[in-house]
Parts: sequence; structure tokens; C-alpha cells
Amino acid sequence: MKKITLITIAAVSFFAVGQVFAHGPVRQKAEEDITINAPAEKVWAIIKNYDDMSWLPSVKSTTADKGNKKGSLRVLTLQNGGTITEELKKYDEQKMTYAYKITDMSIAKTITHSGAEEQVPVLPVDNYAASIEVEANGATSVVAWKSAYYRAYMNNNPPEEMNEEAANTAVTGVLKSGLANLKALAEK
Amino acid sequence: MRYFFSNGFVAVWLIALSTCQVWAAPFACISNQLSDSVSIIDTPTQQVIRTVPVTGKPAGVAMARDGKFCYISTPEAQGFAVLDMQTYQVIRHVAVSDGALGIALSPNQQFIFVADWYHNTVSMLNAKDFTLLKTITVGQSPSGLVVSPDSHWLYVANRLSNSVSKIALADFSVDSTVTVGAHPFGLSLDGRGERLYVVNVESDDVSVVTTQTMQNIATIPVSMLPYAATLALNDERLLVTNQEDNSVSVIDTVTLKELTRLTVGERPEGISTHPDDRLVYVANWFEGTVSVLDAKTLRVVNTIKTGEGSRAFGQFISTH
Repeated sequence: MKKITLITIAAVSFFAVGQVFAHGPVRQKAEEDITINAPAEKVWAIIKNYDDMSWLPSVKSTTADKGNKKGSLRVLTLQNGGTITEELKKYDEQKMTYAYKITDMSIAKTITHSGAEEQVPVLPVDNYAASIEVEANGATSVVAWKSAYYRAYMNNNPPEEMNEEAANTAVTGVLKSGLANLKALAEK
Repeated sequence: MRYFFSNGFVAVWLIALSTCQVWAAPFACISNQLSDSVSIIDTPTQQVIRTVPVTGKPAGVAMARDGKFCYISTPEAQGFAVLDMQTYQVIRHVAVSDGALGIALSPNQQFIFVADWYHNTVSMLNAKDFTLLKTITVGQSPSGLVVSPDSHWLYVANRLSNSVSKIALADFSVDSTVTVGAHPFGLSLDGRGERLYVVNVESDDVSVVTTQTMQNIATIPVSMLPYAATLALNDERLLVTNQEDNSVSVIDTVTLKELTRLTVGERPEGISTHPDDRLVYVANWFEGTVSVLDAKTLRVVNTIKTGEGSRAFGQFISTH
């Protein structure tokens, strides 16, 4: 009995130490690509307008203030009512690619963690930047969607709603569903 | 007995000789943060000769000038790992504090400095026995560190304070502070220790600071989200990584103007100059590669596959 208690104490202290000394955030990445049986021009035509994100299933509507010009701010209104604001950082019609960065997001929910209220954004990430590119491969094309970001919680000891796993799961989900739908639309 | 001793002496001497030959090649140590490893590149052949596991999400790198040891900050393991460059093994892990990122070794190889991102401190350790000598408070989120060639001064980029602190190593105290651009991160100091180049991530530019008076004398625009810088060709060229542009800006340090932009791999971060003063190595974080640039011909001469999330933040190539 005593032995078990000791082991328990050891395990608890180990856990506590791990908590106290948890690290700072490490930048994460996600990368998805898909081969589409349609010419690159056709695929690019679906995604090329920065103010039209209708090909991403979770988006209900999109507006952008400066179209495809660098610096253009678009607001994605999601099916669930949340919003994501993204700034266009790079746009290259010739190379069929553009890059953008999230500048603002609405709050999905508020949680209590370590005695403080934390706001979880609709996409549980921070400092999110991404790029999408269409590459021609004969009569078919390959679309690559890449993003780099941090978990939503920027201090030590993240809650599970705002840790790396939550961020990676959410981002990978967006990229996969978007590319799958893009393929379906382009191959119609 | 005498004969035996003499033979033993010869054996030791031979081992020492062969060891010197191993050390003869300058090595580059690339920290791969997402795969918890360090890629060791033999620079004469430009090949990865070893991939060493280093736990704790390795980020910052400080290579000893003589190439015998490489010190790698491990934010998740609250300190740094000591990599023996003769055996290619981590021989020790030194606990410092829980936000360890920026790391530097003084040129005289006596001191190791570690910046703590969360506690706004810089710690000074004895490089021989790793005892903690002193910890001081600097600006917010200290990141890049560089020590003057005479090992008298340490410069610290305070990312969230938009400033650089000059620290006197004689008594390890803050001597002065200068305001720079938005979110300074990487630092590069010229060979005479007179001019400091400060890479500002948020304002997309480089601040030029004279170290004697600690004045910000010029601002050079570069591209999107610059990260770090290095000097080459007798300090005549400054090369700056631009993360969001997948490029390296090449700056003429006389006119303080950007000469050209070279396309490298995706999301370039750490950058260091080979001791030949001409080839420059760039760690590309997103794609896990290293681009080798020729600062003279302004071309990318090679791309080397490394590991996931190559950061190599700091001075990562030995000078011998």
C-alpha cells in the first residue's frame, strides 16, 4: 500500500514538473495536394478570384475589398456563422498561385483554463499563413495547399482546445475538404 | 615499462592526429525542429553525413569556432543540448530555463548565452562546465544574440520591445538600448564589431546600428517577414532570409541598398556564411532543405535535403 502511494506521488510530481516546465509554441505546418483530372486553367479558374471561396464547403459567403490586388482583405463567413479575415500577400496569375494570411477571426467559444478565460477562435491557430498553387501536368493538374501556423494558445501549458493537436486537426480538415471539393467541381 | 609508455604515447598521438583530420572540415549543424533532430552537413562535399536525434524541439544553434562542439537550444527541454562533433552524439543536456530559444557562444569560447523568450532574460553560462554565472533581464521576448569579435559585448534583439540591448560582458549588465524596427529577430555583426544589422520581422526591413554609439543610422527595406541575416565577401554583402517570399535579399553594405533577391526553398529561416566567406547556407523551414548560395555569382549552387522544420537559428557553421 505504501509502495503504491509512493509510486502515485512520484507519478503526480512528474506530471506536475512537466506542467510547470512546458515549453513555448513551436510553429506547425500542414501540406496537402491532390491530382485533378482537369486542365490547370480550368482548376485555376475556380479558385483564382480571391473574393470567391465558394469552393470550400465550410464557407457560406466571401467578400473582398480589393479583389486580387495585394493587400486585399477578404472576409469568409462560415456556415456556422463565424468569420475569418485574410489578407492577400502574394498573387501570381502566371504561376497560378496566391498566398494569404489570417488577420482576424471571430471567437467560437470561451473556455476556462488555469483560472483564466480563454477565447478559442473559429480556427484554433495563431499567426496563420498559407499558399495555394495549381500546377499543370499534361491534361491533368496538381493543386498544393500549404500552411504554416502556431497553436492558438501562445503561452505555456495549452488547454486541449488550443494545443498543437487541435490546430493540426482543424487545419488538415480544412485543406482536405477544400481540395476534395475542388476536385469534384473541376471534374464535373 | 618505458617501452610500453612510449608505445602508448604514440598511440595517443595517432588518435589525436586522426581526430584533427575529422575536425578539419567545416560542418554545418541544422536543427530540424519538427523531427527532433540535427542534420550535420560536411561542407566540402555538401552532404548530410549524420542525422542526430535531439529531443526538445531543437531551434537555436551556436557552433564553436573550432568545430569541436555545437550547442543547440531545445525550447521543449528548457535549455540546450551539447553535440560532440567528434562522435556526433549529444553528450549532455543543460537545463537553463523554459523559454530557451536564442543561443550564442562568445568567440573566445568561454561563455554560452541563452535568451529566454518568456522570462525576458539572458543567461550567461561557463562554456567549460556549464555552470550558470548570471541571469539578467532585457527587453520583451529576447531572440537573436550575437557577441562582439573581442568577446566584450553581447547584443540582444528584444522582439516585442522593438529594441536591441548592448550588454557589457565584464559585469554582465545592460550598457545601452536602441530602438529599431518592428519585431527584431536575427542579428548580424560585422568583422570589426562596429556595425550591427538587425532583421525586423514585422516591418519587413533591416535596421543598421553603429555599436559604439548605439544609434540606428539606416533602415533597408527587404521582402516579406525577414528572419535572419549573415555577412559575406569581407562584409560587403549582407544576405537576409525572407520567410514569406521564399527568397534571400542581397544587400550592398556600402550603399545600403538591396542588389537582388535570390529564390531559395520554402520559408527560409536560419542563414550562415561558410568560412570561405563566399558560400552561404540557408535553412528552408517548410520544405526541410538547405540552399547553398554563392554570394559572389549570386546563384543557388545546391539544395541539400535535411529534416522536418529546419530552422538553424544562429551561427551554425564552424570556422575551421
